[in-house]
Amino acid sequence: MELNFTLNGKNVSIDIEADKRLLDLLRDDFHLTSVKEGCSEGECGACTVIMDGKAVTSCLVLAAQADGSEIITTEGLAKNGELDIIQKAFKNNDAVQCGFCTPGMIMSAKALLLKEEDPTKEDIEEAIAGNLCRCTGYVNIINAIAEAADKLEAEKDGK
Amino acid sequence: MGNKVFQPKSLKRALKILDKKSDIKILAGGTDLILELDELKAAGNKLMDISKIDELRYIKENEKEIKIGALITFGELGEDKLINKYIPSLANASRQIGSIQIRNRATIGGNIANASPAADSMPVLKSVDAQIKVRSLNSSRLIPAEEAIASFYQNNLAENEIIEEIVISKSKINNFLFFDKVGSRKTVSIARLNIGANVKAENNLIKKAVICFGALSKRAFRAKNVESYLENKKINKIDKKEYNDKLKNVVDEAIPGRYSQQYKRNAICGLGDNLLKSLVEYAGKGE
Repeated sequence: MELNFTLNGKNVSIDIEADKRLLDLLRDDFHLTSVKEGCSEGECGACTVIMDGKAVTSCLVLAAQADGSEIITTEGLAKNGELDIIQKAFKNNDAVQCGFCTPGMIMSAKALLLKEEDPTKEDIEEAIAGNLCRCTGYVNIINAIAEAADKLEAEKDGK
Repeated sequence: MGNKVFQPKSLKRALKILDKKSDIKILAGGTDLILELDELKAAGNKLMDISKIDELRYIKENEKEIKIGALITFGELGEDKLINKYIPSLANASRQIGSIQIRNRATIGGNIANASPAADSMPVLKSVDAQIKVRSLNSSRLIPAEEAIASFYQNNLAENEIIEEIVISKSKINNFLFFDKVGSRKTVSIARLNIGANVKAENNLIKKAVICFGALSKRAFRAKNVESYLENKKINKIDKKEYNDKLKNVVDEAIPGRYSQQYKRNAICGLGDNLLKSLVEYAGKGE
């Protein structure tokens, strides 16, 4: 089956077995290994990507469903060699320990900030409720996302 | 080699495919079915992805009814103005289903068709007597929501049928609606027990009560003993012990001897208590 969709800002076309998961399509066919396979049942959020502006767990999306859609993975965030504000904030706040949950966390945060410019702590907690982290205890992750929201606002004011 | 995936863009096309072929599994959001992908492939099932049928994506009202297209996601239901206005318990249940990632994909039609006994939409739909419109190529029929469920994870739809929409009659909606659930954690949890209530309350008096429980049987059901106990009682004068006994009866009759019986006897009193507190608060506001 031929799939046509936008992946990290580029139009892509690929002929694949349509009954695989979006997670496998991204990892095996496009080698986007930021997309992690954790629980494989939508509980852990490690495979979170953005599909048409919304966070989804790619282990629960059929590859065929990506046809015509717009997909963003963590690989698509850095621009011109510079990390995205959210990625920088994760670095600044020591929000990364083993790193396995990090790409999924960042994509959930990105989806939140695409929708909500002024997230409250509760908004942030809700946005990452579907992302499990077994190292950090979440505090630094929540701080990082709050900082990213502030920096994004400051950036807008600067322009 | 991979199996074929049909991807119709219109309902009519989907129904035609179902009419011609057999062993087709219908996939909407996919959040339940994709977990079984390997088993489905091994069994030789073909998939039909209906997520591209945009005509099934709507929430609308007319004078008498609210209609929800089968492909509306729980994310959309939770935020929708009409649903929050008319059926806030459905909006509330929708916001508590899974995680944001799940709610962005999971559909109300899929939740019904998947026939999980713990489906959070079911006690609410049952409480407002929602009807499911089911369509095949040459006919359509309306069935009460719970009758779409045959047994555990088995729906009552024929092989050539698709859920088209959910219809809720405005005349069935009373002035106090409620949903709550007990799960293993605060968020992203599958209900161990859930409740949907649709109550007519006037001047601190319960005039009519429809109380439904889910995750206690193969499908959500009305707890008529609790309903008749509550009806014609003053909200602030309900005897806690009697009320709890009625609630425990519901569990005892539904799952006698089950290992979870004792746990659920307590859980149901917790949900019942939350319902009562919420009713008291509602009555206190002068309704």
